[in-house]
Amino acid sequence: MGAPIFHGIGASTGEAEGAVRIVRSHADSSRFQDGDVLVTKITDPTMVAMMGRAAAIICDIGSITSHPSIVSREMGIPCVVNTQVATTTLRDGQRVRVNGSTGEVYLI
Amino acid sequence: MISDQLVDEYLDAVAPAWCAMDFLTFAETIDVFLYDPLIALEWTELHTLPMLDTVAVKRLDSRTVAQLLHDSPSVIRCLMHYDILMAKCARLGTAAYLRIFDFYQDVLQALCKEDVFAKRFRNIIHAAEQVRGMVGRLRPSSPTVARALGRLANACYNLSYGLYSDMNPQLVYDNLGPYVRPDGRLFVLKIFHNLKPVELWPETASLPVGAIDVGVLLEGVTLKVDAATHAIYEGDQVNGLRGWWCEADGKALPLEAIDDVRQRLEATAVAVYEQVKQFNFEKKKEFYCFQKAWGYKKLYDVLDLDWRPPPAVLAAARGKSLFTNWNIPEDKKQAVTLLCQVFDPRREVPAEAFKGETD
Repeated sequence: MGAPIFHGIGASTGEAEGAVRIVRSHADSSRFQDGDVLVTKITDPTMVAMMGRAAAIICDIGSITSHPSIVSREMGIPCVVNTQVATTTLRDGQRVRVNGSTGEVYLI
Repeated sequence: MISDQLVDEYLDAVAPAWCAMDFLTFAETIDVFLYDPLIALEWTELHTLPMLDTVAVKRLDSRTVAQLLHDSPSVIRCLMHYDILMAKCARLGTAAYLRIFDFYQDVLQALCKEDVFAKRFRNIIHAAEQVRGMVGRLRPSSPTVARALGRLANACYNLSYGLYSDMNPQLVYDNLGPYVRPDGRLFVLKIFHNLKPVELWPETASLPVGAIDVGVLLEGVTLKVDAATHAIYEGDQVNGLRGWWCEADGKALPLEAIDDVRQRLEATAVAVYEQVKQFNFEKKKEFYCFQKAWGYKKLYDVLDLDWRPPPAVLAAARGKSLFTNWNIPEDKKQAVTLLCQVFDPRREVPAEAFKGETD
C-alpha cells in the first residue's frame, strides 16, 4: 500500500475504501453515491443524508468529540478528523482507504 | 454548604471535556465562549436568578426540576456550565456563582444514581430493576438493524444541531449508561427527544414523531459520556449489537418503519439548517438566544414565567461583535488549568483568561 497520503485523528474505528467526494454543502448531494468517502472541512446538518450513505468520513478539522466523530461511531463507519489537508490534497473520484483506528488515509 | 471536594469533582469533569473540543469547528456556527459573554449580565439577572428564586418560591423539588429539564443529565450539565460561565462573565460575585452551582448540583444529585458531573464518564439515571426491565424487552439483532439504528442516530443528531444550534445537541441526544450487565455486555438507552420544538421551528409540527428511545445491548463495546455531553464509543456498534428495541412517542417502532422516519428527520435537518445558514449575524445572535432559552421552556411553563429571552437580553447582544477577548492557551494542560479557574464558582475569572489584562 505504501505510506499514507496524510493522517489525522482516528475518531471512529474500522477501515473502508471508496471514492472521494469533496462535499461543501447540500448541493453536492446529487454527486454523492452510496459508499463514497465524504471529505469536507467539517460536517454540518445539510450533509446528513450523505453522511448516512458514506463508507467513511474525513474532515480537515475536528476532534473525537466533534459531530462527524460522534455520528460515525453511531453508524459504525471509519472517521478521521483534524487532517488539516484532506480537502486540498484529495480530488473527487480518487480511491482511498481510510483507517479510522490509526487515522491514516491511503491512496489506492 | 458546598464542599470543596464537590466543586473540585465538577471542575475535574468540565474543564477536560471542554478542552477536548476543537473550537475551530464553531467558526461558522455558534461558540458559547464568543456569544454568551455578550448577554452575561442580562441573562443572569433576568433569566437565571429569577428562575432560582421562583423555583424556591414555588417549592419545586429537585427531582421535579430535573424532569422539567428533560430528565437528561447531559442537558442539565450543559445548562449548569453555561449559566455559571455567564454569571462569572458578568462578575456578579461568588455568592451568585455558588448559588447557581448549588441549584444545578442538587438537580443532578436528584436525577443521577452516581457520577453526577460525569467525571468518570458515566451517565447513570436508572436503578438496577429499571435496567433489568429494559433489557428484558430486547429483540434479536443483526448488523442490518445496527446500521438502521446508526443512521437514525445520525439523522436525530444532525436535526438537533439544526434545531438548537451547535451548543445544544443534547436537547435531543443523550446516551444513558453504560449499564454493565453481569456478563460484561453493555446496555445503553439512547434518547432522541424534543424533535418538535414548534415554538422555534413551526415546520417540525408535521414530523411523524416527537421523541425516540432506543435500547441497545452491546458486546465488545465501551461507552464514555463526558461532562460536555459527548458519547465516546469504542468498539464496533454494528457487529457488536446483541439486542435492541426502539420506541417512538412511547410506542414500538418496528424496523421496517425506521427508515421512513429517518428520511423525514434528515429532510427536516437539511431544511432548518439551510435557513440557519442564511441568517445574517444579528439574526444568528438573536435566534441563538431563543434556541438557548427553549431548553428551559418546560420548567418555565410550570413556573409561570415567559420562556422567551427577555428583550433586554436580546438588546444586550444587538449590534455587538463577538467576544474575542479570551486568552485560552493552545497547550491542552494549560488550557485545562485555566478553564478550571474559569468555571470555578468559588472565584472570579482570572485576569489572565483575557487578552491584555493582568492582575
